[in-house]
Amino acid sequence: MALLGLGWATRNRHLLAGYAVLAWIVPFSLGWSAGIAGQSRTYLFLLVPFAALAACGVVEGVRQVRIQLPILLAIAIGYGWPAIQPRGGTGDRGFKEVGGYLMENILPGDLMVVPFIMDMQISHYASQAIHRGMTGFFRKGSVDRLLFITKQGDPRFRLDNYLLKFNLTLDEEDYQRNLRLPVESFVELYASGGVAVNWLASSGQRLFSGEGEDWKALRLVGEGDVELERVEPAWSSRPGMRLKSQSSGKLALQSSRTFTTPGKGLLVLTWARTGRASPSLYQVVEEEKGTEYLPLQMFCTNYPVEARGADGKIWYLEAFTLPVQEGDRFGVYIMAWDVESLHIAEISCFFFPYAR
Amino acid sequence: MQFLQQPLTKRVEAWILVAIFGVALAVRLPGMGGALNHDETYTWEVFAAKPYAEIVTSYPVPNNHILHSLLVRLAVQLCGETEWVIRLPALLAGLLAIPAMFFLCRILFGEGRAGLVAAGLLALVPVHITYSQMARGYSLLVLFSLLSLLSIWMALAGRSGWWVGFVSSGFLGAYAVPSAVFHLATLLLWGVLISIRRRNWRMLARAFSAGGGSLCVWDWLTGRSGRNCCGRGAGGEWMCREIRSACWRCSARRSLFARVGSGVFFPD
Repeated sequence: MALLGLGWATRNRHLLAGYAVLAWIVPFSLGWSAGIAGQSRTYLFLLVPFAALAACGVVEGVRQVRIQLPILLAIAIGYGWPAIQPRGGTGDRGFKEVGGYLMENILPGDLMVVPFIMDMQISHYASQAIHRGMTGFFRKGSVDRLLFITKQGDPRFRLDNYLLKFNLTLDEEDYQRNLRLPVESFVELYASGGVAVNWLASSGQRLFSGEGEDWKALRLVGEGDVELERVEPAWSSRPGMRLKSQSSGKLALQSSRTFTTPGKGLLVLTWARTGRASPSLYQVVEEEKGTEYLPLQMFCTNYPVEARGADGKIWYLEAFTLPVQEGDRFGVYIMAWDVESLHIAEISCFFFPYAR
Repeated sequence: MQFLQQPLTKRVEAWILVAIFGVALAVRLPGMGGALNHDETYTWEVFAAKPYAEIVTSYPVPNNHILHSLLVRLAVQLCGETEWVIRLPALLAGLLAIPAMFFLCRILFGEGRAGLVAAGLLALVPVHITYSQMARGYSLLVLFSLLSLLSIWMALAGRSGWWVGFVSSGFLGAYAVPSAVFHLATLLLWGVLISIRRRNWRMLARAFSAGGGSLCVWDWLTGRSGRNCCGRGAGGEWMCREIRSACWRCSARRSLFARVGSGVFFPD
């Protein structure tokens, strides 16, 4: 009908014909040449010439009422039938219900792992639960349960293909990876509308605790000394650290103490910070040439939780994870950007074995 | 069936339009209270939940449909934070597009039946139903595209006052979804070609200053705080720079009023 309308408008030199043709040519030409072609929905304004031309086709293109009526009926049924079918709207089913479950069942000490992209919705519907679990384990000093959120129907959100974002990459093209987690190690606690809460059925074992004196402070970019001092506890009873520098720049901390993983499973690194910084693990590899230290990227479990510590400061509480094999040896390093004073607390690394 | 060929009275047209509007409303209401999808959540959490000043100045990615975010913020302030309220601006824009489409086609084709068919079509098109229920700026894009076409049509017909409507709707469309700039450029080119064909140079100047002005206002508001239409493809930045400077030259050369894009101030 729209084509018929375009034909009628062209034959009759109606100005709409020119607009309709330009409405297709100009946006696509501009989008293509500017490299911003974008998704189809950005061209939704094309509905305007489409509906106008279709109406023109029905009313002006087909003058005979005998033909007009069936066409109108066909349009009404063709578009009307799908429109009156029961619809769930544009929203995703399950998130509200899972959010409700989490709000009721998350205990202090529970850590939720949410795939990248889905984290926005989970955070919207369960932010208080995430906050409760996260602040709980920082106060208690231990992670009790690792809970993974999954969603059916989307290959990125399955346990055996779990999309998570890296913690340290600045590479726009390579900032995420799909983890292959062993499905048999998980127990489904709740599911609704395809969204499920899965528990990694094992207990965490602390392998590393960062309140010791065995840290080496380095300046990577810029000038001036870097100092590290102990400060009062802000979360649990464990003291924190303060990294001080005379000028801002890129700073690093490296633990000289290392630990070895007792089996195959997931490492979870937790910490609290007050400024722009991120922790990660380095792997110690014994080569023929000597010992090598490989800096690794970890996977973000969720958004940082913002909370006020016992010292009155605003802290960002974070947790990162990494799949590991038995016998791997790791240490912890921290990168900080543009900070002259950074408070750090509760650096710990827990090991969760995969259930057999 | 001969009655179908008779022109409809305004009263009958109005009743049919009300019925179409009722159908449009009925098919858009179900699901309004469902859980927000990712894009909607992102809109709310990252942009619309922030203070007004932050919404209008934060433009890290084109996902911030600024006008829509402002309306969502206002709706939530007035009615509370529920999914239904977060989607309300999109729904209202989707519904308002139905009568706007009617009036546009009634004017374009000079008869109400074309307007009613177009309005009925828009009421039932699945993609328009979907975006009327989604807390994003796309239904605003359709609404303001309709209004800018209507405005330029009236302005080209010699009604100078409609240039203000063209500038306003063109700007608001682009302030809702940046890709409305493409539609604005289409209308601008169309208006220019019509003016040239009619050898009406005054109209040409108005079309240029109106289209250029609304692009300038949009560029100024969005470009200050982050990205605008400049893409990463070949020639994208160059093109935007050139378009921007051409718009400024064109508008600024005229008068202070032309700068904000209205051709109204050039009397016949």
